[in-house]
Amino acid sequence: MSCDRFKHDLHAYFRQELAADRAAWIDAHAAACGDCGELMKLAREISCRDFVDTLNEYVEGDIDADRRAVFDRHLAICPDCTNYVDSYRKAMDMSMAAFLGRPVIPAEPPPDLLRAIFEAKKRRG
Amino acid sequence: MEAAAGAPAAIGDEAVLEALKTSVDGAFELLVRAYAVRMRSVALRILRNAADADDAVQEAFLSAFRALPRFEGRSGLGTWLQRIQINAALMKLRAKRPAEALEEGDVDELLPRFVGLGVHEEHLRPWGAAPDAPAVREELCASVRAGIDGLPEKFRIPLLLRDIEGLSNDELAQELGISVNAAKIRVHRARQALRALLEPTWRSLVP
Repeated sequence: MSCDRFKHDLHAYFRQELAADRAAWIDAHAAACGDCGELMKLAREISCRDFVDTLNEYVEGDIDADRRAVFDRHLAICPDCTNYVDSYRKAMDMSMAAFLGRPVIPAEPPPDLLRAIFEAKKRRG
Repeated sequence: MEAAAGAPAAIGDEAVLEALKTSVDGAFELLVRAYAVRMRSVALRILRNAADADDAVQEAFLSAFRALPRFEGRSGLGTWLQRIQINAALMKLRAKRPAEALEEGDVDELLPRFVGLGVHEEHLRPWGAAPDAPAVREELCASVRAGIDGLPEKFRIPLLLRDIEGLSNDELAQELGISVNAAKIRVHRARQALRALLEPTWRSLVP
């Protein structure tokens, strides 16, 4: 029962929306209960703000194994960051598709451009 | 990642370099014919205007040809030319200073917001899977292009050079004359802004 209440209130705790006595109870329960203490430790390991601020390094694989493990543990408990990373990747993929997957120019260079380049070469050597 | 100007040329690099030994004009023509399309696509993405792009392509080929005897072949000719084209296009862009749809500060408004001890201000709903239907994809791509076009140059150019032209973070930093960390941050902010700009279209098109 206490653990259910802890989990229910944890998000509000991190939003700092709980009254002082409720917040103190959360701290006390985390200190007393092994499982909830672990959950609190995970939730405190990295904030969503820090996660989102540096997730480019995670997405690009530009981090060491320890840091990657911190990100992975955060994703395991945070649906918001999971959804954010997923949409960030989708936007990246779509931006590549938008430019590289589309023949925006003909396969042959425009004759006028070629002429201009060759003439400029003659003029300027 | 496929880099637009870094892919192998239809006419081999060896042919261009070999021709250079016997006929300077012939080598120049080979070089231009082999790479003009890809050079122009790089310039068009950066400058977004055909006339400006063509000027930048011309400048790039002339300066590339002057530098060609010093080409060391550490990277492929295509990659080397791509960097020269990026430089020429950026020089042209700096000279023009185009009107921007968004101000630099507007990008901050597109970043996620946090409350309390750093949790998301609002719950984020998942995006649907990327669609396969060509018409839907094209609509999303159009939205992406419009979104990127509207970004301030400070963010648009790093995004293009990193994600579309395929420069590494180090190369990007060197190209922009900023630290690697600053380059990474600009690309990240640009992607975040693009994500926010794309979200309404994505949600309306992908259930």
